[in-house]
Amino acid sequence: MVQFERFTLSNGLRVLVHEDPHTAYAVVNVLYNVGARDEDPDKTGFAHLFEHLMFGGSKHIPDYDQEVQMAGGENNAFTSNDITDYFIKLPAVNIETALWLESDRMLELNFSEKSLDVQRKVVSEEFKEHYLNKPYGDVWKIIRELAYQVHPYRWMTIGKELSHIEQARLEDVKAFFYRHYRPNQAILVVAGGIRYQEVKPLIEKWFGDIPPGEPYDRRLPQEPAQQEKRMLTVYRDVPADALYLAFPMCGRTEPAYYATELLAQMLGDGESSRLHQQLVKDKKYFSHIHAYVLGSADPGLLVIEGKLLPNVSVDLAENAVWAIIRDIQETRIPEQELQKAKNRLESLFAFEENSLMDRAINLAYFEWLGNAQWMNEEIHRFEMVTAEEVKQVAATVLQPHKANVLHYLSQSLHKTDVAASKRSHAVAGS
Amino acid sequence: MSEALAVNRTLRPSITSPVSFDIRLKPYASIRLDNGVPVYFLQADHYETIYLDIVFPAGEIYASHVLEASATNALMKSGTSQHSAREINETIEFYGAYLDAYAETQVAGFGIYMLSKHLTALLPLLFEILTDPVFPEEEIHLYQQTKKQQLRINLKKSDVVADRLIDEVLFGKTHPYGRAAQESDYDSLHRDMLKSFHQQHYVLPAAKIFMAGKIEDHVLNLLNQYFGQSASQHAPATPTVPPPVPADTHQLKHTLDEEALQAAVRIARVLPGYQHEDFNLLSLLNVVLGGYFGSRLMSNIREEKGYTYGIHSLIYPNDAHYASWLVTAEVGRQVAEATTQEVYHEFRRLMAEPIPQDELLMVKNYLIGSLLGRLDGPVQQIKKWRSLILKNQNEQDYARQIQTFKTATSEDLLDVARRWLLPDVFYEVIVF
Repeated sequence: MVQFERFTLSNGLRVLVHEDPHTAYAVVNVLYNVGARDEDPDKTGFAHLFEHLMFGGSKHIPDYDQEVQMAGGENNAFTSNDITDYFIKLPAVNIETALWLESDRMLELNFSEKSLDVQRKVVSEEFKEHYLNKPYGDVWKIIRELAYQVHPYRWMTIGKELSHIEQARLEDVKAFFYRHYRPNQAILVVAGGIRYQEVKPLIEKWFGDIPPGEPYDRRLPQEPAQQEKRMLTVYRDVPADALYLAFPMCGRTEPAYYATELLAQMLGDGESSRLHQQLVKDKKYFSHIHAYVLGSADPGLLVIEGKLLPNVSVDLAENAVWAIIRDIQETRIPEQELQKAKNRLESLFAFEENSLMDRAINLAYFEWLGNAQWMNEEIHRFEMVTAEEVKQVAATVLQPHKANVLHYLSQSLHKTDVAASKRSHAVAGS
Repeated sequence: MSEALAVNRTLRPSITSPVSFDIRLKPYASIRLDNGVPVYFLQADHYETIYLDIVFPAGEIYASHVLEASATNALMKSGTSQHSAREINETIEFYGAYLDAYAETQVAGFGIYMLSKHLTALLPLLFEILTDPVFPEEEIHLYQQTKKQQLRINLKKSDVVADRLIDEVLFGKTHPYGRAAQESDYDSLHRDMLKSFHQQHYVLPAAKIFMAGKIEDHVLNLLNQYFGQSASQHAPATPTVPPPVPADTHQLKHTLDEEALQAAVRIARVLPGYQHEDFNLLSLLNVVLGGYFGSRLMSNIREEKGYTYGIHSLIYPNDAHYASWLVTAEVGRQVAEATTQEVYHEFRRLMAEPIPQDELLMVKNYLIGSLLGRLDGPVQQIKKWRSLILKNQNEQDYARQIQTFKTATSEDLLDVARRWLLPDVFYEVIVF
């Protein structure tokens, strides 16, 4: 159970304070209500590029990192398709430094051509390192484009292509800041070896005078229900064939989310899961296979992914996955198996609760979803799920006409097929 | 809000310099089991979880075949005379536990994270894995297939290839710190090799146990009942690690992909190990060079030039005698050469000019602050104790290290830089 106090400043900044008497450390976490889904389709990757620019100095503080390090702290940030999150971890006695730093960059960023120029290059190298210059690096670009046709989840957080990042201009940066980086779009969490009574006046002091922005009216095109199976085969310079199945599922705050996550666990989380046990251990089709959910705010994906062993045909492997899907849809789910999935989540939550950083980030995230208190109710919500509900979700989510299937094949293992596919492209005129 | 308007943002809040912090490890409690196995532990009643790590002298240095240590360790949980791999996985996962099987250079063992309430149920299984693995042929075969596939994928990654090459360049192809597994090494694994490595090296009286979290009353008795009884076997003698046999040439270029967008750059040398009197100063100098976000390498090569997403340096302490000092970065293909030149430029600056006072203070504050952060919580603390105890060090050694970090002067660092950072003695690997 994570205890916290909550208040809202007059400029709309929501604040959560969590005291932990066992530590001399503190975490300041700021979550901004903006992610890659808020981007213009012609300017993708911008939310993440912007995250880098937040370290380029602010109105009164030329070098953010130096100040954090001088106070004995470390900091970082991450961007997802839904949110952008910044955190500083530092000795609790120096907590005010973190509040000073975060409030100044919320007040006004130091918009500089130099910083934009360097970070464009840095992010381009990040793009290359993780998504271009790596085997299977473009898998998520392909899956997103296959599974989403209108919703902005159809591009990755890093962006659709390098050119979007290379073209970012300083005017875009400014407009983005004043639209999304206002106190009424943010959630501040202060956690650790601090006292609520002492830290509250400091928060009011540093954040109180930051002017609010216009309310942000998020109107994203929602993805229509998928009506037919989508299939794509690509050939790449990789040593092993890979298979991906992505099924649309509900959003993070919908009631069916809990049964869906448990379903994914039973199918493919851990070596005793159905997919691993039957397809890695018994049939020896895959070197590894697992299933997981993308718990995004808007409807997400349940993903099954695996790498095939040599000499196993991808069609055979895919059929074997479908057989396991039919089995979980049609036969009774043993209570013991459901209990295992719940037990795994229970210990995962307990490990997360040991970490001050995870507690701070989770508080911000659940508050952003709707209510920080939900963080403490998660276990209960998972515990309430019945085997019948999991089966129900399996029947609705894992339908063939809702599947997005990617055969990501090795060029060198399929030389003749590659030649055939090139010819057919030529005929189609592409 | 009227009070808030008065805030003067150009005045930075005062800080307490972490250099003034008194950093100490929380003392552990310890007992010896009946057969002499030491148990070091930290009690944390506000936790619901427990971490238990059992360590054996079974690391890479004991292995004659490159995969002996890691494959034995990985396959011990794949079947005992009582339980199949399937049953073992099922039990561990049913209780929501996470088993971390590891083989390091010196030691190998098993760390297990679990809810404290499940320890009683899991301990007998852990005992079985340690004392009675049968290494089924089918599991060995599966391991070979899976690992070979993983290796084929990894050998397409320039960073992995560069890491393998730099170790080989520094230590030599057959040295325990320089060798790397090939596909053929997986093929030559066999059951007798694994069984005999297990019998010789997973010897209970030679084990050490580390534990942190909520430890219920009966746990120590239970540990004694399982791990405190066998006393007859002898621990293997620690082999002497041979001296490195570095490559003849200091520069190696390797091409994986003619059209690669990036190059993996590694610049490294062998250093004396943690017993050497310069080791603590070198650790501090490494932070200045490339050990934190504001480091010389990051400031110049990422934040000034934008050549890379990240460039880092680290000292990897292999043992008491040998460490490796390594600079790593993935950089744009066209700027690979420019990057290496800038790295050497930073070496020469550290050899030529004393580190300015404000920079040195920042590094010390950062380092002490982050040490405090890394010791936050009983699991982190017992892991630090583990690292000291396995090096035959104690709290005085730790205190000495902290003292060096706090009191080192720019002149001290200039002196070690001049002795250890000469660009000519470093080796360079670039993989496109």
